Amino acid sequence: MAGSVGVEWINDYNNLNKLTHEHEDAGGFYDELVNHDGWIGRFNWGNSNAWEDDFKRTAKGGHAPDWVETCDIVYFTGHGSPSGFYFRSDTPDDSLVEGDFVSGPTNGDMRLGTGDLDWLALEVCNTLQLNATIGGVNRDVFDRWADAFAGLHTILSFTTTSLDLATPGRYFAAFLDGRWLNVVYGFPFPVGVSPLKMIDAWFMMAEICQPDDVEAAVLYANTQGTDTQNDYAWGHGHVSPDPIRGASSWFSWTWVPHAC
Amino acid sequence: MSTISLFRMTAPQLDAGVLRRAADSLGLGDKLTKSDDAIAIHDDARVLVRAGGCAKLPGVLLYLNHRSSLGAIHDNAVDPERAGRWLGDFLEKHALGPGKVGDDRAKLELMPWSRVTEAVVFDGKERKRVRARTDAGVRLRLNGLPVSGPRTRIRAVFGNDELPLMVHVAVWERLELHLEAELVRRHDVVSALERSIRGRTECNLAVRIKDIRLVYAASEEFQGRPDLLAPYYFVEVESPHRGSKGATDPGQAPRQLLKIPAWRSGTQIDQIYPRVA
Repeated sequence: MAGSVGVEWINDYNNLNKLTHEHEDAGGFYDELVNHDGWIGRFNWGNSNAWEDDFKRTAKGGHAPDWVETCDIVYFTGHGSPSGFYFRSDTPDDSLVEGDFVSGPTNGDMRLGTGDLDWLALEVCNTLQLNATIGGVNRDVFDRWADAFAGLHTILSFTTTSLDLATPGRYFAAFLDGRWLNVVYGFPFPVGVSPLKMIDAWFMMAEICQPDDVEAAVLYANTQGTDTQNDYAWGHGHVSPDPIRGASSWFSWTWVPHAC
Repeated sequence: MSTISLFRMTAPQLDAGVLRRAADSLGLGDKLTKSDDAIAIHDDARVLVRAGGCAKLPGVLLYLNHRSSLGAIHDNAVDPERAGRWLGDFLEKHALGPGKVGDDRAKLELMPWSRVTEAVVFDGKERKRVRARTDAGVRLRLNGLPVSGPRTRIRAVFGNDELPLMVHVAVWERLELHLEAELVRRHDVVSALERSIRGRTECNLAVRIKDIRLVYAASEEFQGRPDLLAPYYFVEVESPHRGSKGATDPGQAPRQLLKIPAWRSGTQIDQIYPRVA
């Protein structure tokens, strides 16, 4: 059973430095899953068509249920910081998908996983930085993103800056669907090899795309009966049940870095 | 004018025998698949692959064992010293380390390292640092500068077993001097970048260069021309977010990493291509 995918990307920022390769980066992810692995492509929005509103919870006036929650995986590439990830300033609703404690302790934009969404890949800088000073106080990765998990399995991103490259999305997808020998090495192998787990695919993407000292990271949630760290992409192996808060006596978030 | 050397890398020849022996030492079976210029040995959960000189990632060897996730918590991760020793033995036994440096203007240093990587687990009340895995590798320095990037990397990741979860070995078989070029000065790079980011209309924009490092790096992918290990500045730039609704950054402003060539040699392509012949 294949899943459904959505991607958003921004090169042409009007409020931050412009980027170059984000259309190829996100487009590669989308193309690999949709055209080589049978996934349903829900949306591929770029520049002025990419909206912060698509990620925002309805309680804050956003439309996440109509967009990101219709996908199993969403891939965003553009600018990021420990506070969140950025859009153009002339698109709905505003230009920053913010974490909690950025404009208020419980004012984060994302409460994800209430629909289909299992994985959010943010190919942006610094979003999963462990510690970050916001408003003069340290707000760590759990302060900023724990409440974004409302059934979501994993956020995949970086703790450091990373290069603006064309290849990460396609490589990440090819590690997920098992076509990575063909895609990464550039030769048609007569057989596929095992697809990688979601987290391994993210770390390997960083490993073969980024220079030394760049650090990727993941933040995953678990509760009784879930094992999100072992997720494969849909159609390629085990996928954990959704970790739902309050469903058992414990709930945890795990942050794991991978330095290149 | 300061000058700096650019080197030309030649990837190792593809050798099925070397790969089979490396697979043996990883306890991997004998299911071998060949492509035009790459070989893979694999079973249901593991694969060892190496590319030849014509691949997108020439000479890059990867081993992946996804029985356990790189993101899982390995409470009993291998001791760093043992991990480092395993990697050193593996490289030596299969001659996988950097090959001959064919020029006395290239001074290569190898610096093995190993460490525990920690994860942080939060249960809603407490943050707890836990041992997640062990990483080992070899850092390369060429003429005193770090060598960086996925095309020149030696590292391995270990879980609870002595055999690794991942190995990435990307080195050259031969490294030769390609050309001597003018080294672009650090402050020229900084001022050009600041000018470019501010443009004509935002002269007072608070662009900050957070970090600038001179390193040797190859292209991320082979580009069908001399495969150069060349000097680049890795520059980390911070510039504020000009948000909608008057928003400003309450914390760290967005940053970005740029890879900027650090050499100048007239028309570079004209200078570089004649050397191929």
